Amino acid sequence: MGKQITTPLARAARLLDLVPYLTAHQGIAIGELAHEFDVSESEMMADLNTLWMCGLPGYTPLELIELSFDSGFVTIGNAETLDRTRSLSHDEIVVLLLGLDILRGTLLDNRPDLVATITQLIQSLQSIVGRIVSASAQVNSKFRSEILVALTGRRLLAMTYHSSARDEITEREVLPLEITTNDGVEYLVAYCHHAQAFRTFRLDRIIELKVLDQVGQSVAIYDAISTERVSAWVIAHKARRVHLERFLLDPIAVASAIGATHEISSFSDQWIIRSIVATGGDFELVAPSEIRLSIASKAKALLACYGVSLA
Amino acid sequence: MSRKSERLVNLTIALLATKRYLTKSEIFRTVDVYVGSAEAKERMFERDKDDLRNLGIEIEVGNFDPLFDDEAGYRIRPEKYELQLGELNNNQIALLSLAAQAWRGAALDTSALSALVKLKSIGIDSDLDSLPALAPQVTDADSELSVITHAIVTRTVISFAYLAESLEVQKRALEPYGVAARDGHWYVVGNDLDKRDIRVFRIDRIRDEVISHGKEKSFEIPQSFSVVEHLSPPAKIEIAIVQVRLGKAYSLRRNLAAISVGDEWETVHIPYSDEDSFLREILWHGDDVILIEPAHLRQRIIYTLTEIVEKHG
Repeated sequence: MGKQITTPLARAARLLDLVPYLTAHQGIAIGELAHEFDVSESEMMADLNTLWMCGLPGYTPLELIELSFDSGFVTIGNAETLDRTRSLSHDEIVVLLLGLDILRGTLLDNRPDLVATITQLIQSLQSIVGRIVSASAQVNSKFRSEILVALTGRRLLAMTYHSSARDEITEREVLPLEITTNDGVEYLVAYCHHAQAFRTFRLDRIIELKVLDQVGQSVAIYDAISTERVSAWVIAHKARRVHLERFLLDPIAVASAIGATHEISSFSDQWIIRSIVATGGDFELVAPSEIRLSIASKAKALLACYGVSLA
Repeated sequence: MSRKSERLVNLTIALLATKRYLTKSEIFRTVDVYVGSAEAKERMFERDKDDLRNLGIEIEVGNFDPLFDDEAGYRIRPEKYELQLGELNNNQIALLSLAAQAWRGAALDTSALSALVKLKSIGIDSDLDSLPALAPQVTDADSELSVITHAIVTRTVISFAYLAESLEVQKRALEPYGVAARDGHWYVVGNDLDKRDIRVFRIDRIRDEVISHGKEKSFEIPQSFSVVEHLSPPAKIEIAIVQVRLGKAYSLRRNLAAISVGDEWETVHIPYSDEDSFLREILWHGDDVILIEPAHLRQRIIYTLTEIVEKHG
């Protein structure tokens, strides 16, 4: 979100919040103050100059707020009326509620004390705004804090991971490089010693994780992550929202041109085969022909399991 | 410009400091910067009052003198002006700060920042070192989230174009009650004004912008409303008997105990609610998962597979 133009109202809110902040941080440097309120130093100076004009009715030096700028450091006085922290707005409460919910989801089971504190904070905030927001179970990322520990310490991770496309559970040692987000799902980018290559892992598919004592060798060729995608061309005989979202196809375009060919892509041909079969005949894959043949033979083999053999 | 913010601050101070209600004429006489004709001052004051209320500051209106039906008086009660959470310890402040910091760079960043400033001005050091390295980060791809949450807290009707399951783009008007994130997607729940019922919308299925219109406080959120209730998955009432190849289909059978285990296969009872999506899940697992019962679903699978072979053969 970019810088917004400050309205007089937003400015008044900031002035009101400046007083308790300064009271709690007497002698703060003006640059730091500007940074905390996310404004430029000149805007902050203008704010402080306005605050100087404010005070109790009467507006003699006795009633006005006292501010002193001592070589770039700010102290405040005579501001008792305003020095308590202002109540949280409902917008702020929403932000805190969602944040707390996510925080609770990332905590490991070994900190029931923190979970209890968070739950109690959530309840007191909900008593103000109601039970209007929730973010629990956003992603199953209870291993997040472990990954962060490993990231900062450049430590190796021992990980049990469920690969969905291959439907395999594997154990491997990886050097974590970063946590990224794609389409609302969190991924760990890591160097995998097992595969000797860079890999991405969905956080919610990590089954078990342990930070090792070993420090990882630095891996310089970070750009070399394989991004080779497999492309395929499909016809949607029936357009269903759930399938179109899965293949990242534009629903309106597909629905308005039933029978047309569309390109889909994935990092794994296994994923494509499974996904096409899972559409239950709504989608037909026309190319590449190897994948088309695999789909046919997979379906035939599966039919045989059900005791049906096709001529 | 700065006169206006200055006036708002001075009005707040005056109304906070008073132990009794201040009448309008007292305010005009004593609070600096109310200038101009009586009418202009009046208009200015009305606007200022609205503005302060928009900042969440509660202005109490009362009678100046109960014996005379005199003009109304105004004051701000300090206990209403103050942070609502009572005494907070440094552990609680640390957790609240982490919660706000989770929004770095995300849709609700502005409110997160102002909340963080308030937490810091309580004057108690937050005890971040006592917490495990958490640094949660909100994953949100939906810039409409801030428009929607603001409409919820101001109780403003929103409208948007929504991609329905039928793949039609429908115009919907909603009294938004709540938002929630589930499995990496954000949802808004509210009273659909056309359907006259509570409906759930996935925010990334909204095409174009969310428009908030009409007046604020145009509806009430029912006391009993709980967003979580509307997002819990439907009760799984059907049970399928399924054979799973040993060590496979982890996502399908996690947390389920096997009924019997053989050399290559194990038999599992899997509860499900929606037949179509369950069918897709079974098919996704290929020949690692064979459905035994219910018979009609087994029949559907055979029919579907035959169709796939015909199309790709």
